[in-house]
Amino acid sequence: MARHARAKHDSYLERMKLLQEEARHDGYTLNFASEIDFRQFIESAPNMRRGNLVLMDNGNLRAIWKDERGTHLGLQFLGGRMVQYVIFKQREQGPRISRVTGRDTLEGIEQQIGAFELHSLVYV
Amino acid sequence: MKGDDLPEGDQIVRYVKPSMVRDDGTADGSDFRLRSGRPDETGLSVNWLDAFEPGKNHQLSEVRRLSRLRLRASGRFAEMNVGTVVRQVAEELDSLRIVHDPLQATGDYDADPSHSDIVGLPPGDTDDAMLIGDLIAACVIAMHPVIVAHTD
Repeated sequence: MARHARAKHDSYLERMKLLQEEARHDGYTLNFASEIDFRQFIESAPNMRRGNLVLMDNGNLRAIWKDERGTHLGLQFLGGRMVQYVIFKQREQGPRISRVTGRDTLEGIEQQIGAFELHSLVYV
Repeated sequence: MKGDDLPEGDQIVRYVKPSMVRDDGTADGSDFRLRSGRPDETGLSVNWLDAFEPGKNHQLSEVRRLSRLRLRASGRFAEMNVGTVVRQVAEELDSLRIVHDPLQATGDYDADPSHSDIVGLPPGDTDDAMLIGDLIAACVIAMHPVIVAHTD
């Protein structure tokens, strides 16, 4: 597990380096406070799956986990230990997808993941 | 005509900046929101493919030729169906429209008959803007290269 976590960490670092380079060409830079929160979040759970990572034009990192059924978790790391979340949750019964958005602390996001039954989306 | 809603059966593309193309090559919803630092911005620029003669390669080629953006090779054109975007977003927001906004020729630029706007979006720094952005991104049916490699 430790080797897996290290490989994931290195993969994120490589991705962040690429995103910073791309952003620089487009005239914006990575928000350091966002990077700190993102690193803390991914290091808080070694069994977290590798999510997609983008760098928004406001300088914030955003990580996304999704599956083929339309369930989706997007987390924008705002800095100051705050996270903006977008959740699309395909319910077991019926075609309806629940969609919610809001802001929470880094710790509170763990509870949102639990409340929306997203453990298998985010964690191995 | 300027300000008309685009036909529901038609296709549009939006240029997605490289840092907002996800690792898996899909478009992130963060590129489908108004920019928070631009309060004057009222719509998202897109290109109406059906403004040009049929043939996807030709249509994309015209979009590339007429674009006034600084297109980068690692960016992508995200293709969507007009009706799908309007219907999907209407489940959460009923103000969204995709309207024709052709650009006249100016200075160094030719006229662009394909330019259109997605309007009726929430302010870019709001949580709703991100949710709607993700909803639009989920409507993307194809990602196209911005720069086409010529082998001949």
